[in-house]
Amino acid sequence: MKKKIILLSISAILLFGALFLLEKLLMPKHVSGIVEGSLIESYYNEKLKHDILFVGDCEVYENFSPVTLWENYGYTSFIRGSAQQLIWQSYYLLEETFEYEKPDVVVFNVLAMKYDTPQKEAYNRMTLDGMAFSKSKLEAINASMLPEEHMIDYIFPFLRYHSRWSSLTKDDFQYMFSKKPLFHNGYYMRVDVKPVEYIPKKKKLSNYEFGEFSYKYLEMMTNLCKENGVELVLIKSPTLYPVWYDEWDQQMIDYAKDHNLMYFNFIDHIEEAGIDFNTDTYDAGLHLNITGAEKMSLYFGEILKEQFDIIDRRNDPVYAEAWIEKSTFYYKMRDQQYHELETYGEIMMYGEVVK
Amino acid sequence: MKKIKLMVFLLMLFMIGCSNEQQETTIKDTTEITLETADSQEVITHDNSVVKEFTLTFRDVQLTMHGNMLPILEVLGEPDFYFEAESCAFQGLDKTFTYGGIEIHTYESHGKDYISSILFLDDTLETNEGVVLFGSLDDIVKVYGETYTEDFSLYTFEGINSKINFLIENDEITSIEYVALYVEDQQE
Repeated sequence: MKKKIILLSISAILLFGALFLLEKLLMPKHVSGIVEGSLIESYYNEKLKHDILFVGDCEVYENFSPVTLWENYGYTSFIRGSAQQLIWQSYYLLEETFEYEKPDVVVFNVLAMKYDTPQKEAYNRMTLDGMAFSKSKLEAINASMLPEEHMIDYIFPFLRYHSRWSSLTKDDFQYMFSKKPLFHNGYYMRVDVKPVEYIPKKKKLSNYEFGEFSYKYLEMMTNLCKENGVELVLIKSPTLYPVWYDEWDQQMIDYAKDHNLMYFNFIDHIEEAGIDFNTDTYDAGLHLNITGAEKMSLYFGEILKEQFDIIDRRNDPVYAEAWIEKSTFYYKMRDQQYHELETYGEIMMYGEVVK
Repeated sequence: MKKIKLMVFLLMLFMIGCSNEQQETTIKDTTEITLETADSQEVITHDNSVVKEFTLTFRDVQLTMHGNMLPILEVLGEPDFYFEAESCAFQGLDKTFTYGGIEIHTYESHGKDYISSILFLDDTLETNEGVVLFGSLDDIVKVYGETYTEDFSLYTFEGINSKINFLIENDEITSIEYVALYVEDQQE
């Protein structure tokens, strides 16, 4: 009997161990190519508090540089954003983040208001797979799933990715348990330049009203911040495409006014911020490159300084030491990207920087 | 020991089984019979119902949703304006080709560009069925019939893999757009 129990226990341990290893192996690593899939999980490596937390889609993780905010204002910040991050995903990420820390200011980019329903599994995965297991994650999954998706596939991702076993690469083995650093407190760096030449005309819409679901989560986000004593700031990043309609803007102005929030549509501040779409974008006006993100961060930092009493932590040795390390990595990656751009005409190996 | 072997064996079977999964084709099968008419294509489906596929003839070139853009470009030549947008985090570009009167939008799949939508920019063009910008709802119903859906004055006629949208404002058509269905599924 005793022998049987031991054998059964060993069998169970071996089975679960094998499943654990398989999951680690089969999960997409996002360390090359579409690296944005690694953004969300990068937060869990953080050791120190953040004074400012950005949440949203690519319009936050490509347009603001936490290192610039640190160097010029002594503000510590982190961007919890991922590709096409939907508003309910931002809400649950925020809820989850509040379990770890309470920043002074939360900045939410409102472009996501345009999506009132789940959009695409691939984007869902980029946000949700990286979230640590929690009640917030389960609720985020529940809100995000398309009709053909299943909760169980998110809880046990290996059920979703099992077919990857025949297309595994060296990266899958190399980064099974930990990944190389790719981002700068959630900022996705790009140094290349592709100027704006032409922007398609605004297509007329039949209905400009943001959806009920979007408003529901904006309201929840507003309440969550209030309950936690955190200032919520709404922003629209200064990008030229996709279109941000005046009708949408007015709704955000009204919402902010009704809820006593600050709202900044930075499209109206492009000149003031010094952004030049001949030099400060890497994809013809959709996202800013490093020079654009640094200008935007300087401009926004000034607003934050005027509006809030955020601590300048540059004289705190613990923070200063941590941020020196972050800055070093930032400039190494920047220099490497410039070098690749000069040598090959494009960025070849995103993130291949030895820290 | 037998149990451990059995578990390992089952695990291996599971893995091998997974590798044989096939990608599902998501564009609906319209291969039964396709009748090219002077206007839109009519497709007779498996259950013998006739559903239109909305196409546009522009400068003698037939533009079909999900159609390959390359041969079209060869005929139409350089667009007046060109714009490309990399979708966040996904490889492949969404492109916009502007020619007098229309904007052709494409999506990328397996390295090729396919038409995802066509937007009328002015009233110099008409749909193959003769509807123009600034026309009326009556003009639409006369040629497309009454099988449409309406949402905030957007009148939509749906085919198998395409649809055509007419936006009516102040009793005038202010937008005409052909749209490919199931584009997201093709971009995997």
